[in-house]
Amino acid sequence: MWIETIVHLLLVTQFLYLVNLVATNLSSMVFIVFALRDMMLTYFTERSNLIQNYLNSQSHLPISILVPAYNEETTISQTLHTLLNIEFNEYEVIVINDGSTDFTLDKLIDDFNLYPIESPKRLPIPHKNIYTVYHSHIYYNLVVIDKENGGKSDALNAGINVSKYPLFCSLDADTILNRDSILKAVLLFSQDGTTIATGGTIGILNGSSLTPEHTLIRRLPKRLMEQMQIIEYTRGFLAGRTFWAAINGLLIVSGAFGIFRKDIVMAINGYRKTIGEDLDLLIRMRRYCYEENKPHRVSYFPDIMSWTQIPSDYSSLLKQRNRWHRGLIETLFHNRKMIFNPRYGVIGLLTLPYYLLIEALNPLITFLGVIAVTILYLVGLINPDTIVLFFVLEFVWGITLNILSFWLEVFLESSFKTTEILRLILASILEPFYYKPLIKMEQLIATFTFMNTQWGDIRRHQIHATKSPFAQRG
Amino acid sequence: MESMLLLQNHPMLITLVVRTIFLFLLLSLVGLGILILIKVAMHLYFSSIEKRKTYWSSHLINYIYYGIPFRFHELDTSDLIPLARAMGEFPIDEPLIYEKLSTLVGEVNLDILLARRYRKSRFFFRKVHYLSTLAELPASHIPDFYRRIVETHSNPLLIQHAIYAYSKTVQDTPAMNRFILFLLEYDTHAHIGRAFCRFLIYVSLSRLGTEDLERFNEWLIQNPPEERMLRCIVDSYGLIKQPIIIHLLLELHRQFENLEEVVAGILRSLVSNGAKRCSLLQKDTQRDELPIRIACSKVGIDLCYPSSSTLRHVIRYFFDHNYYVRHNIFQACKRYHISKYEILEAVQLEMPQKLNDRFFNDMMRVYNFTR
Repeated sequence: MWIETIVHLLLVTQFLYLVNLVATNLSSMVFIVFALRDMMLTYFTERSNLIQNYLNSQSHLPISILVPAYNEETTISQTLHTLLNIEFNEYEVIVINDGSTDFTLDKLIDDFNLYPIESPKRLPIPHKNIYTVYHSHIYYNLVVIDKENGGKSDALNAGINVSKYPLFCSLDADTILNRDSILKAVLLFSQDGTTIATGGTIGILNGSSLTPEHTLIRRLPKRLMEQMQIIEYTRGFLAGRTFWAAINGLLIVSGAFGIFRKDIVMAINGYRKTIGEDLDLLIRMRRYCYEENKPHRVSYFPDIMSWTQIPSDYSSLLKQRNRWHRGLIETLFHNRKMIFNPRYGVIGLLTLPYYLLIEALNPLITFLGVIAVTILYLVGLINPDTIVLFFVLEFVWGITLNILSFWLEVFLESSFKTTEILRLILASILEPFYYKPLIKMEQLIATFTFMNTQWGDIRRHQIHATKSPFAQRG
Repeated sequence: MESMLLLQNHPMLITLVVRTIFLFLLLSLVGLGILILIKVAMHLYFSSIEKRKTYWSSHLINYIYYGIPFRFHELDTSDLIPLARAMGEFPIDEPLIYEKLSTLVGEVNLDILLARRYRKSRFFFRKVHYLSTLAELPASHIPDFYRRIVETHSNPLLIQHAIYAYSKTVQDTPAMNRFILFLLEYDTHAHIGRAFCRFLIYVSLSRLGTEDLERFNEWLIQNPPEERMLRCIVDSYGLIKQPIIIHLLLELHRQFENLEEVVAGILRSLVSNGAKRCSLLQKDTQRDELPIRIACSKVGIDLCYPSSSTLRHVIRYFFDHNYYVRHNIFQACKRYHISKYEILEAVQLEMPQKLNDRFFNDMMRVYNFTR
């Protein structure tokens, strides 16, 4: 009797695995096709003078750029130099030194000639104590806040309190913005008054170099695991987010580059102290809008808007993925009443169920599914052909999806050279065998440890500076 | 359960699925190759357009600035897009340039020819390409065409370009009135952002001469749109640098003085046009509505000629219970390098009883260093 029950359980598990596999891969294909359409549309319209004339008319919304920094002495100055040279008329850059234990603040004081100011502040969102606010003698629009350590969300809350403009952009300290990305994103807010947040594709900085004019030259990183992350970013993030934005169901705007409406963020009391603060913020913003019956939209710009460093060693990568997965599960758990709830529209009926069934539970289902398939094969309940089927679904379809993601790579603003694309194709063939199982295993560990709120350190490197092509000519 | 197992182990089904996935793999590779070829072809196409655009730019410069006749005989159908894009490089708010380019567009029938190509093209992306090119034109004479696109399409990028192109078709007051009515109608279901709305109205208003602007203002007074649109119009007045604008804003101020947000917008627009109207400030500083207090505290000092008595008009804002009002007035003082001592002196003279006000003293304590 009990043997029959176990066999039944194994059969159900392997069937669930099969369904999950097909659903995951099919949804990825749909996402890629949608994203391709939007990227081609952007490609055809990006030469229009609309954006430049909009900038010249000076009728756009001003914006505060918030850069939380914790032990970022290697990258912070470089990031700020690019931020202070973007193509925009009215903006301020607010760096929040979140109790760094290295020389981040000293480097900022030296490089930007900072001086302390005393100014009364409204502090509607609670956060840890602010020690000093600095202004720069060199850049009128640079503000540096030195505060007690409280985590990224706490630092962003302090930045929101000090900021003075109706929109704010949250950036990581190692993110480099394209010169016109803020302008493109703000245009989305202007065009549709109901937009509450917007994001853009994040490019990978590893291997690339910066000219003295702060122009980025995109190159393929040398390490295989970095190349695989490029494929994963295009396939998983760009394609998925473009699709969700198209049906107004987008729930994640990357912490590395996201623009938000300040009034809505203040209404929900800013960022919540959690490890997945970017996902959590947007879900709560949308929840607030649904509950208050406010029409709202979250847009996404499919081209690369900013560049960020990805982990270049396994330890950092696994820590990051573990944190992301814990953040996802924790946020889903916190907002569980929205899942399958028709009151929350597309989010409640489509996006959140997708994140729960396809993203959050996927590592667990895969793990149990593989065990079930192995046992069933060993006891002779499924034939070798079925094993081939699972292999094809998992690996060959995985490779197909990776190649499909190159369809998007072709239309990205700054594509790689042909030789680099060939190397990437090679990496995309190896990815399902080597990188994907590694990440799935780490996500599985995260599934059981989601109550842990530790962040974990990620090692950063200074971006390699190159000579300007103009300087070479001269 | 058995049927599930049977279905799953069915050799035909497995073969079918495996073959389908290998077909996907093959198609993805073929698709990648095709897309690379398309990208290369598109790159070549846009490069050739850039080359021709440079050529036509030099002709347009000669035509506009040196009066050299335009070489119509050199123009063939492949030049429509480069010429339109070359025209798009000229500033949109220079009346003389606009007039010449507008005439040229009419003579070449550039907009009509491009619109015809838009209609004929079967592929969506080609349509997008033609529409974004039409949006580049400094002037166009086919408002109904753009209107239809906005009404029949749902893609935001397409609509964005169609409305932008529509805003450039305005050439006189009736067209301007129609454009405002269209925006109002569109806004009710699509919620245009205020900044984009202001930009579109600015683009269309910058095409009107003094008389047309006056007529439009009269129409506005007789047929006032809803407050949101009125605010956009008033804000866009602030972006247009024509002497008549101050007069028009003052007229609107008289007519809509009960609409606080509109009055606040008028004050800001007056300042961005360099108007000096201290008497108007004196009148508005008597009002208690928050938007007006915020606007007066921010730009009030700019509305008067700098003098020792200027502070008197705005003195009450130093003690306002709203933080932003106090913040604005201290910022304005800082802009004019008004010292702490001067502020104290003015307060002592006008409102000595408020010298110990907590809000005022909080701001004064850090005034020299406030942002």
